[in-house]
Amino acid sequence: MFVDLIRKDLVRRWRSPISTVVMLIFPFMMAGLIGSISGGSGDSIPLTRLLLLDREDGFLGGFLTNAGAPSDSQMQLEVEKVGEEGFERMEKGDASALLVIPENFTEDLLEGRDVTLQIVRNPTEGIKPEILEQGAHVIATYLDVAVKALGSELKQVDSLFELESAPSVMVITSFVGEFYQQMRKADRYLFPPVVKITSTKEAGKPINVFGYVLVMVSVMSVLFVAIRAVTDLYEDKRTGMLRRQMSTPVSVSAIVGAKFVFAMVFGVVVMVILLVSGALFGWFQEAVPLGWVILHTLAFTFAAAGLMTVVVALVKTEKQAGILAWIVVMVMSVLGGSMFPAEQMPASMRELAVFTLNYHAIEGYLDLIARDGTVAGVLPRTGLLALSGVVLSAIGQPLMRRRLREVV
Amino acid sequence: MLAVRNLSKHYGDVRAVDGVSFEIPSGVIFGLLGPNGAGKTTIISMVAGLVPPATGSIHVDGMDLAAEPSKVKARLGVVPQEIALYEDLTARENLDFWGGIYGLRGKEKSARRDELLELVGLSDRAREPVKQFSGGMKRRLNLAMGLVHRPKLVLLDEPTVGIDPQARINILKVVRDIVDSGTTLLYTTHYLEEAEDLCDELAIMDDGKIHAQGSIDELKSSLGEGSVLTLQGSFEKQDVARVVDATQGIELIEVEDGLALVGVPAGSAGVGSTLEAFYGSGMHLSGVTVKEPNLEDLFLKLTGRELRD
Repeated sequence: MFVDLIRKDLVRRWRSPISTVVMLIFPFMMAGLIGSISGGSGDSIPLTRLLLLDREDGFLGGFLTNAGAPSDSQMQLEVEKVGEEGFERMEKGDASALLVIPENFTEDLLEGRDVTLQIVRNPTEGIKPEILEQGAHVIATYLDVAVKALGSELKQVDSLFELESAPSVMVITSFVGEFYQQMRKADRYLFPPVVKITSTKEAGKPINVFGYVLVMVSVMSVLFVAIRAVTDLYEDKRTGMLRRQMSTPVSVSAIVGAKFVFAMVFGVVVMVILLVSGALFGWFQEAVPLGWVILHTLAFTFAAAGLMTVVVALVKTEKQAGILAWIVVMVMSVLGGSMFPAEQMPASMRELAVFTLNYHAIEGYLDLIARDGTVAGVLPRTGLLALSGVVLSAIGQPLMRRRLREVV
Repeated sequence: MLAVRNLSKHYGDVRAVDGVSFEIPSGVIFGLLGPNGAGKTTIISMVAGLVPPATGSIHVDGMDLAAEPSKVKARLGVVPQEIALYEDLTARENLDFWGGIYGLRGKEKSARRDELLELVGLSDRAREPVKQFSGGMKRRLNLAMGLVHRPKLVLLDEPTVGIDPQARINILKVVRDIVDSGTTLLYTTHYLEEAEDLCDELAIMDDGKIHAQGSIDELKSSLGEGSVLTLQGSFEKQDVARVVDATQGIELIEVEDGLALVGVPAGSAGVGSTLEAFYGSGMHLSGVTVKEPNLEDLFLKLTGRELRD
């Protein structure tokens, strides 16, 4: 009976393959898109050049210049300070974007007045200017939060500069104390240690960009596949198939269990197709520990099926399940490195990444197929995914059984 | 084959089923006749083990559903009111799936699948996806899927709802073929002619209760030998009541302004005398119909409303 339930779902996917094909094509499209901006070779992750017109010559310009200093990063940002000729250079297409910091930027910021950062995008480039614009938004958000969180302290700073004589030790001590307390509350958000682009990659042969992006996006695809598989239960409810199944000797546990296994099996199939295709394109290193890659895939799909079972069981309808699961996957994908490499994120976001399945799945795959990582090194990630699968399925399956008994 | 005792189910303040009891011997078509909301589908859901009853017991083939749900479910074939099929699978694949669910394997499964496709007249369309089928074809396949494991008792919940007359004839033919093979049927419907034509025994339901049950002849005879007069004209309710009170043996079944149903049992004043009494009362009658009593009249008498309400 159990096998019949799983086989039926696999045949249905085969009969209606569009959503599966989309999930298979999407990672290749993203890999092709991102990879192509590196010149099409895929040998290195692209250099993004930002021209900086700093009319103030203040702290932000210094910060950005420092962030864009040459490093061994895989996905590099080069920041070049320019004068007013920066606009002409943009017209010539010399860089992906030009960021203009206005005069009195810092003073206006400290006074709480509206400030504007201007970004001029290179219209001939698609993705890199977009990345830079989004980056500018992130900076603006940080600055906005900083001013709001430290408003009173910033005014004190201002008043200290207004004094005719040097401030007393008491005043300075009091100010520093308050400032320190505020900073302790907000340091995770305000001072990511690595706004500057860094890389954990040691010197050696670079990771193929196509392979890198393929792994990132494939992990997200598998999560979407798991959503689709588990929400089938609500589709079966809507179409009356669930009532029909529950009027047979098959138990609710078997129905939920079969859907869980189907989500896993289907996730493995999708992941294997994507990884094998990537390998055939030559996007991964030659010597891949195949057994461990399969084990890692099983652990990841196990965790993905478990998570989606929990998420879908929290709501009552197919539509609600689709929306909630989509939000969960998108948030995990943003934080966990499926949309932007985790190693390039601010530290505060990287701290959250470790709570996502994406992060451990991606890092494990990259270690195994692109970074010459050892099996022993990947073991904790695979183990963590497997453990997550155990915990999530232990929570999700009883929840789902209860939900199905309620809805029939 | 099926024994239902004192079955009740309520949803909040609504008593969907209220103390229902009946028994179905083997090889019989037992009908539950009643309007939408009478409680028929709730009874089917409870017998199918989908909804637990608040009170009462259900025994199938001598086994208690509450104690041995899996064994009981293995003996049941459920054909739900809604068409529940996997539309992206073919008719064969749908039947194979349900055969597998009920534990059929290999040649036994294939043979039963082909037999059922033949029974419901879909052999030539067996390899097409169900989404390409007409409503009537889907209904027939829906019915076949409940028979795949040769159940001893089949629960058919309004299998002819929403289909055209020709498709209905086809479905009813299949149902008769099922009965000819010795299967017991619990059949719900709100179509009076269907119940009268198909069922050996019938329970008339409304508001979660069984108001009468027995064979079709027993139920009709409960209205007594005689005739039913339908009177149309311009009259008030009390005009009709006055004549009925004054005329020996006749009874008022239903009356509203301008329309009245009057029972004229054998041994009463008789049709001719009854009509004379009405005409003699000065009531203006624009039309009179005389007919044998049927289940519609019985339903009206028992529940005070028409079946189509």
